Amino acid sequence: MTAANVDLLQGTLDVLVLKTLSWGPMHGYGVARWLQQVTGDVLRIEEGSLYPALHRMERRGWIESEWGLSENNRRAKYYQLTAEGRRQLRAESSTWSLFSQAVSKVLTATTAPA
Amino acid sequence: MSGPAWRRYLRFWASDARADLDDELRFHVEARVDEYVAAGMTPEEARAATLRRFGDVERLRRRCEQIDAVHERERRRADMWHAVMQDVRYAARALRRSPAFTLIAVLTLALGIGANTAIFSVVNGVLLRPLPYPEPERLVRLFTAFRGNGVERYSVSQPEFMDYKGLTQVLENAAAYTGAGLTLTGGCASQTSPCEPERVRGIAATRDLFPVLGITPARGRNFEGDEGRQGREPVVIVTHEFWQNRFGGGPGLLGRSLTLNGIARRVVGILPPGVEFNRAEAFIPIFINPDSMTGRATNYLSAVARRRPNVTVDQAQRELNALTRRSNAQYANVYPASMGYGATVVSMRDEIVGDVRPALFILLGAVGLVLLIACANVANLLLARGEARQREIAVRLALGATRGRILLQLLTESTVLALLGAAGGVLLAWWGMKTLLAVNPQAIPRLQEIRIDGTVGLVTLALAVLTGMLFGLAPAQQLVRGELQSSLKEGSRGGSASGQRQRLGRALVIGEIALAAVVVIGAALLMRSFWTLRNAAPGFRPENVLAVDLAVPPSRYDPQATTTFYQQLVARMAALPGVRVAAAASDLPPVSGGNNWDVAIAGRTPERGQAAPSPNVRAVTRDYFRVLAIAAVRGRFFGAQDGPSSAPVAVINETMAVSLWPNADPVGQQVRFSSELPWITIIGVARDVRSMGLAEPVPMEIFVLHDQLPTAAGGTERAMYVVLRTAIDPLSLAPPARRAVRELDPLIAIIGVRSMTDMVDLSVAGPHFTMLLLGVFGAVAFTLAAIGIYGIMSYAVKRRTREIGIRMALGARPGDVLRLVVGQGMRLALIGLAIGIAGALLATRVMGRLLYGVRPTDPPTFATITLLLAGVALAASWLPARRAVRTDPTLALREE
Repeated sequence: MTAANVDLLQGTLDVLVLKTLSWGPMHGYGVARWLQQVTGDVLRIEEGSLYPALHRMERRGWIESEWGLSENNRRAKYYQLTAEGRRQLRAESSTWSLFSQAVSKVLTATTAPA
Repeated sequence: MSGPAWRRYLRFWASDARADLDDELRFHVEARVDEYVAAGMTPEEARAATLRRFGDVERLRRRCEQIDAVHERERRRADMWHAVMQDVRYAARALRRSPAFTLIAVLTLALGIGANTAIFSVVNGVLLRPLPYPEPERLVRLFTAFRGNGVERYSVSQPEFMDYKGLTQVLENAAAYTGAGLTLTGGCASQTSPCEPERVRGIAATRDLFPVLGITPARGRNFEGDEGRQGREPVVIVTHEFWQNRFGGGPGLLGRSLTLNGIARRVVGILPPGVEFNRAEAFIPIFINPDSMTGRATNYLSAVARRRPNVTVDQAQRELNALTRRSNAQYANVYPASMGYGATVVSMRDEIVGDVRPALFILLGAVGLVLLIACANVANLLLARGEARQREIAVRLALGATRGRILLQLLTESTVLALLGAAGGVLLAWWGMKTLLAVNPQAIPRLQEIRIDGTVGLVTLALAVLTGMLFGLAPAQQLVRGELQSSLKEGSRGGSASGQRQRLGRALVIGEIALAAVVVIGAALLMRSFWTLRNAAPGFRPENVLAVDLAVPPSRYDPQATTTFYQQLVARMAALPGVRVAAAASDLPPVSGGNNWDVAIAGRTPERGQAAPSPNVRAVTRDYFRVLAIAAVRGRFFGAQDGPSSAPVAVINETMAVSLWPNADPVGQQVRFSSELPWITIIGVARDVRSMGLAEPVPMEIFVLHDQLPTAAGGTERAMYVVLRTAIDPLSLAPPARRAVRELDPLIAIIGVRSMTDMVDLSVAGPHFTMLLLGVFGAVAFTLAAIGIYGIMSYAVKRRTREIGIRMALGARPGDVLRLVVGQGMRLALIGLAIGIAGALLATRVMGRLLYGVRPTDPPTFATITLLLAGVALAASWLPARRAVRTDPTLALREE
């Protein structure tokens, strides 16, 4: 529990959720768990904040929801990417990689400013 | 947001959104707690850790709820839109399947809605749209009134105007103006001298006119100081349109000098585009000297004022009343008590459009009724069509559609019909208004402001939706109320639903006849009235008379030169080939101005407090009565022996003779215009002429020879009509008449050349316009009603073909059956006519002011129209009945 505490920008949370859902339908808890595993608990997301993000994206038509049964037979709400959501994910991912490349170029630069 | 259409059905099973949210969040918390417990925590520790990790549950839940609420609203709107579009598509399919029905219904509605759009566009342009000045509701017109003589609105004299303007506690500002015919001779666009004289519509106004109206010149300035006073530099302000049309909008007009009526005037201002006042093109200043207040009885000004904010017209009127009461006491010599001097204030809009208001409201009422008839026709079409669709509806009901849903669907269909009709109606209105205005451009004021704009479009749209509901609701209700079982059973004929349908059909027949009776009777009354008006004996013969309107400028023409000019001009005109007689007159019937002068009668001393008789003075040349073919009642008309050097003489009209000498012969009596002027001997009495308008009462008139005016009246008349009685088409003499004027003085502009029949027609243009419109609507109402009644009757008979067949098979004679069917039809028609006549008696009462020579209850009109409509109903029930009895009974039995 001493990992770096990174504050997430709102748009960043959206793209992480979209990426998570790209593996298949998942409930909110599943999204939280998967993000925790993949990031090795570096990104300490306030788990509750996933839900406004999910509802907002559903309103925008990026994801849709359906009630189903969880692995231990409890009623859970499953979210699933829509075609629009997939498009959004593609667009956001390429923006993100451009951004992170730019940032790392700066941070790994070896020449001093002229 | 637009998902697949079926998605919305999912929510039939959807539970409460709030409970869903709780479930969703609880699942997360419980799953996490389970995980922690499995990892070895106690349940309490696990719960605490979970909540720490989750965050503020309440706050997050609220945020989710907000998002969900917005989402739900959007979804609901999309669903509704989707449902409406589905209904519209369904309606379009249904209408496409029966193109004949659709075409007839749309055409009928286009007629009904188009008439309403057209008249509303007129009402909107003329009555509703504000005048084109800032805060127009505060603009008022001020008039002097002589209530003792029954005159409410009269011109204002300079001292009276200054009195009214002084009421600053109610009036912010006031201005006076008077029309000024201007002739432009120098400074015209070509700059080549001498250029063609041009006539310019001008107004002479005090410098407050533009501030009162709220107009600021776009270039240059307003009048200032004592401009307009004798000796000051003459100036002029022109409209943007004058600048554009006559000078091509080029630079350099401002500051240039224009010669108007022989006086060089510098252009000091140009008004903004589109700003106008009384259609004038040029404004020249008049200056009223507050220190010299003579001429209290010389009324020649019009006055316009701006009320103070929060002051009502009534308050202004009260102040004016108090003021004129004081004036009556102070100037008793000018205002004899019997004259009843007072003042009137009217809002400017009422002054401009007051006369057309009743006509427009009657037209609006008439088109409303036409639309109702159109609705009845379409309702009947829908009823007949419903017969065919009954099975379709029954199937849908059986499949689980709710009655409300189907009702909505049917109403969508009728609304689509109405909207199509409205589209056609707007086209029809646009085309119709264009035609009508082309036929009759001067019929009503503010006509140039009529257009089909946003307001009109919106009203038409609302009307269309309302119409769709009106004609669609009853037939649609009939359809969905129908017995499900009986409609599904093949061949079931007429359950309770069809009984209701017949009742509705009967109500439609009665309603259509009643409505048509009201509109057609109103139209017929107006036509009769116009006919009477147009054929009212005007007292003169306007056929084959040409009138040339011109004026000579005072700068170059003193009274002597004026007399000579008109004598020479009349002589030249009389010599033109095709001219029988020529004369000149200061005013012409039937649209003369009022130029009243007080007269004193020789041998009578005016009683104290009694106003002097004040006839209209008309200056004429010798042959005036011959040109207009006005008969002499007594004495003689002017002859060669009467001239500038002989004793002044006059001819009076019958009204003046009877009013002033009820028991004596006026010939030989003497009158004079003031004590400084000589006595004028009356030599003859002329037959009354409707000089102030065909429907207006004849005023007292005195005719004075133009060349005797300088002696008899101490002045002259420079603006005259030259009238020619011709042997050929009068308008063919217009070019030579113009030439004659130019040869005599090339700098005089002719104001207008018209035949007198045109002038008479123009004088009744307003009534003609109303009559024409109401006539057209009457014809439309009649045609629609005739078609509708025939449709309903023949449909009713067709439904009874089987019954008729049975009767015939059982031995009934064709005559009996015919009588039965026609009798039933006529009973409905008579009920409709009775209601219609009662309605017409009520409706035509408001027409009283529009009718001339016809009473609103005119029995011949009522009788004729009643018989006409009864005839239509008779034909409408007899024709289908005859067809039915001629059908072979065996075929008839198989019918339906």
